[in-house]
Amino acid sequence: MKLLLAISLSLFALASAVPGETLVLVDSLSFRDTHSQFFNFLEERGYKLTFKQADDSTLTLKKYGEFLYKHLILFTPTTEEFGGTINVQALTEFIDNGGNVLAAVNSRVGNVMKELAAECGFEVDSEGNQMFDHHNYDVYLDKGDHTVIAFDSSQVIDVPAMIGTKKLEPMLFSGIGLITDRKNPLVTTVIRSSATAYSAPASKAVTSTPLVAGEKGALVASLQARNNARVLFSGSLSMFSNEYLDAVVKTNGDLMAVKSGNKDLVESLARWVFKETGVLRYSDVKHGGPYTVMDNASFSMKVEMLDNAGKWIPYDAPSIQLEFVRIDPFVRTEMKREANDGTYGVTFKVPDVYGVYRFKVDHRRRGYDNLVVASQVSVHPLQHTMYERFIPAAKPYYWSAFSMMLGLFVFSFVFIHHKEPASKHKKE
Amino acid sequence: MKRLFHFLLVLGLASIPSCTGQASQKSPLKEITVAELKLRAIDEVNAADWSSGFESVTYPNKASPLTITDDQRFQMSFAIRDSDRVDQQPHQVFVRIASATKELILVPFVDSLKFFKLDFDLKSKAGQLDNASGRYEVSLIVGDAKVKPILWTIANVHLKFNGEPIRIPDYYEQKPEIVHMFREPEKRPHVFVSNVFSLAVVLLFVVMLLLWTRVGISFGNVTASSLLFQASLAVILYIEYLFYLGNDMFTTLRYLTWAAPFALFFGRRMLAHLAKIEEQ
Repeated sequence: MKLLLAISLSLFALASAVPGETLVLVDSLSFRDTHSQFFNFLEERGYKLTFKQADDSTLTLKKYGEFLYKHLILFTPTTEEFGGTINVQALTEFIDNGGNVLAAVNSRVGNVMKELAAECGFEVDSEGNQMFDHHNYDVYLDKGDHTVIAFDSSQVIDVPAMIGTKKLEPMLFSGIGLITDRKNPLVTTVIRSSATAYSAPASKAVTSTPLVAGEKGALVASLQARNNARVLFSGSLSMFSNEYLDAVVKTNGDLMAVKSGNKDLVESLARWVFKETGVLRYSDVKHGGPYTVMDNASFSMKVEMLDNAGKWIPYDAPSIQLEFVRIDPFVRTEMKREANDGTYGVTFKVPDVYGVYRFKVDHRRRGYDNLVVASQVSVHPLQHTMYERFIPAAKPYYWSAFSMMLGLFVFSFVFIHHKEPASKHKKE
Repeated sequence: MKRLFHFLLVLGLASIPSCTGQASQKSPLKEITVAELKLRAIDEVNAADWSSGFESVTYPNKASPLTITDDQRFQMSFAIRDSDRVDQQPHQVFVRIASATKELILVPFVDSLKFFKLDFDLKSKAGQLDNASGRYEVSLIVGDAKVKPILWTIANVHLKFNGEPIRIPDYYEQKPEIVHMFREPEKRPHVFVSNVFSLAVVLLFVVMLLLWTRVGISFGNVTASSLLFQASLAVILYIEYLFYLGNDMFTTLRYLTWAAPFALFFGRRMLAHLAKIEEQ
């Protein structure tokens, strides 16, 4: 068990990324200028950005079997195929090994990006389609086709780990719509489309139901894989641009902002996807055992999360669920915060069924790492001396046993010492 | 002259009745309105006849509430016209049927008379609405790059589905608590009953004593060996009583190993004495 703990701790240590090596693939190196504020933000936080053209023939994610980067930014909407050894398989392998990906496309979405999205559980609308919202477009930046659409914080998922705690001003988006598979539990719609927005080709009136329309549509979607690798997929590359970060928002509807909320939004999202927020680790797993049936069992563990400054602070969830499992869970209860250092614990009564059990924690919270802890413990049956004694209902049995014992003593005493009176013999 | 030509060109583009297409520059948005809107919920058998049974609604009023069951069709027809009463076909003409959590977006088709028509069987949409019966709002969304958008809540409808509502489990939801059901202790008789039976058992012993007094007993054969045998028997019985109280098997056996030889030795002496008496 200690080994298991050590391994999982080291896994967490690997995964909890302090800013690190980041590969930025771009369609054109001019994105360095048009999106400079976003890149500067990352560099200021300590990320080491390596810019490469998407069709660079020397591209590779791996060298001598080791990944060269922790994070990957794909600002490559129009790329049909990456250069070098990068393809969709290489990207999914990168994610499977814990790498984080931030990807953005626009209405001209290339094949490779569509395939990557499909691998992650999203679907991007057909190439050339654009997101329209005739009811909420920005009057300053829009060129008259109502594709620079504005959205407010009600359309952004309410998970502070992902979007920060600051109140978001109205924000801008222009690009293509996505849909998420709602049966895929690992996928989250980060920003949903408004009821009046839809993704369609601009050239002719819409005559069949669009793939992306109304509130089921997504503008930005995310995936947190089972290994806690994170992927953020945005239908709009412009969302990250200097132009949108600095924009003054005024819509034909009632949204208005002196400065768009895009800066706060993309910074929070980038910090989430590159694992600065919502990162958990655990330690000090303590429990007793082996137990006997109907004993009181106790389990406790310490859980910490990364704060803004990259320090580990106590985790803030009010409770964490704990299961006591023998094939099926026999007990599922909540561990409460026991101390201010992030220790969670609970005491409960072991079931009256003996066997080999596991304490199991599978903590899931949207925007946070999954926390999986398991530890085995055996539960013994009662020993023969541990059963109940002196049962009132069994008193007749006790008394009959004692009276037998007493009877044996008294009867043998009388039988041995009795002497027939001599007179009787004479009479006969 | 060139500038005038340009102006005329822009004016010409803007006046094309079908106003789809990507506008290259901002121009004032045209006013449009929804006309001759009518709607109904109707059984399958009567659905082909579009001549009667509709409720007409004028923009921007609201129709009376409507109930649609899943063996009915929902039908709707309307036209979109500009201020010159010319039929328009904007880029976005959607009918949205939505509650707080469910949403269905439908695109009406355009018939030969430029009327928008919506005609669907509720059962066919049950999957998209997760069979969730309840109150929904029907609204019409009209938008285009060149017209003023319209968002009109036409009616409140009550949808009734026959199937069970579909619920997709939330991966992040707290799982329900499980409390282990411990085996119920067996029902036991009342203490009074066991007391009565205990008394009956003890009474049998007392009866034996009483009968002995009637028969008459005497202790003529008392010898040292018989008393010592009785004492060792009493010790053995007492060890067994201690076993009942809580001594374990091993302690009990150890005590018995000490007590048993005495009982054996004195028992033999006592029996030999008895045999001697018999002989006489």
